Amino acid sequence: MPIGQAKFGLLGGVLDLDKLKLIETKTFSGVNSVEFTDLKENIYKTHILVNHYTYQDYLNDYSFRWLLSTNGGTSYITSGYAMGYQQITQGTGFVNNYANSRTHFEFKGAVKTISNESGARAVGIYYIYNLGNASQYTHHVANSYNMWTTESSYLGGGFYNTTGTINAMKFDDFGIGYNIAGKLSLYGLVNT
Amino acid sequence: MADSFNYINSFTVSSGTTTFNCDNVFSADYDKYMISFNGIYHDIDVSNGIEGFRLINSTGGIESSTLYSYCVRYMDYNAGGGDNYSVTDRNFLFFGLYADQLSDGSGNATVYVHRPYDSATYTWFSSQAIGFNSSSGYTNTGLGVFKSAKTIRGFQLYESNAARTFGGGTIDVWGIS
Repeated sequence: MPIGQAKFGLLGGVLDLDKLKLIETKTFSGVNSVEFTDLKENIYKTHILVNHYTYQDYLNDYSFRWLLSTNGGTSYITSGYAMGYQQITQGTGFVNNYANSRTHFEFKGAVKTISNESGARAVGIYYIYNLGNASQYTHHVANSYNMWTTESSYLGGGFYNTTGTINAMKFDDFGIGYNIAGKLSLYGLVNT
Repeated sequence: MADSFNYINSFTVSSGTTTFNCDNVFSADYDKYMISFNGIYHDIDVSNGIEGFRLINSTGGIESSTLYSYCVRYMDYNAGGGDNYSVTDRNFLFFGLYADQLSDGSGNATVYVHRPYDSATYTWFSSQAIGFNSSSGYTNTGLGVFKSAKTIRGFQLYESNAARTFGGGTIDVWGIS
């Protein structure tokens, strides 16, 4: 994809980014999970994940589960995550969300009542640090926007505070059998 | 300037110092810049919120007057969120880069700098940072401004406490046209 088609709302601009290299785009629907197993973490210090759009057909949850792997996706880590973010919801305002021990990153990438909001999708941009740096922890910061029962925005990030090389990641339905759909692009920032 | 988003330079933070200059990165070629702070840590055991940075003017001088203003919304993953802002103008720009010695944690951030080289405008910042130390983990979303219309050519990673020296990490700068 011409990378210039990726709109970065945070900047209000469009980046035609020869130095922001597309690693892979996943377009998916009617599946339980989607994986990125070639992160090129040995090349890039910082990755950017663009959520062009995502949604689901499950009405009782409003996120995807986001998991990391150190063995190329053979298995995924289910402990040691933490998150802190501000949720901003129409009619409510700021809500603090934080937890220092989680089994996954919550990927605010879903729309709960898609049947009622047929045009609704979640979008967002995620900056991911130190996937390939075995001596540093893997963190990400995010801006994402979705529709649950009302429109919400999320500002914050996630921590995986164990050192090691992260070389795969997966987004799924928590293993409970609902369908997810969307388009995600993973980029690496070139710094040479 | 062939690209709309172009790599400018990378820096490896020196250990044993509380100031580290990233000079000659801003120019007339771009209005906006993206700075990526990757794994910034201290070389001593200290849970710290690094003050942030100061700007470098067109003659290489450090802008250390009380001309910086900022507001940061933070989230502590053990205790919840709040605001961290300059009640009065400060002599540095804070953007929520929390760190420690490497074995305890480090800080990462993406900072956008708007119109630093334009001598007719103030320099503006928007940022997102995430850091971890032996106290907790912190995410931070911030806005800031350097309230003097002058040409700025670089920036300095800055810590005011002389005992809290940096240990390492990298800083990458891109221009956005």
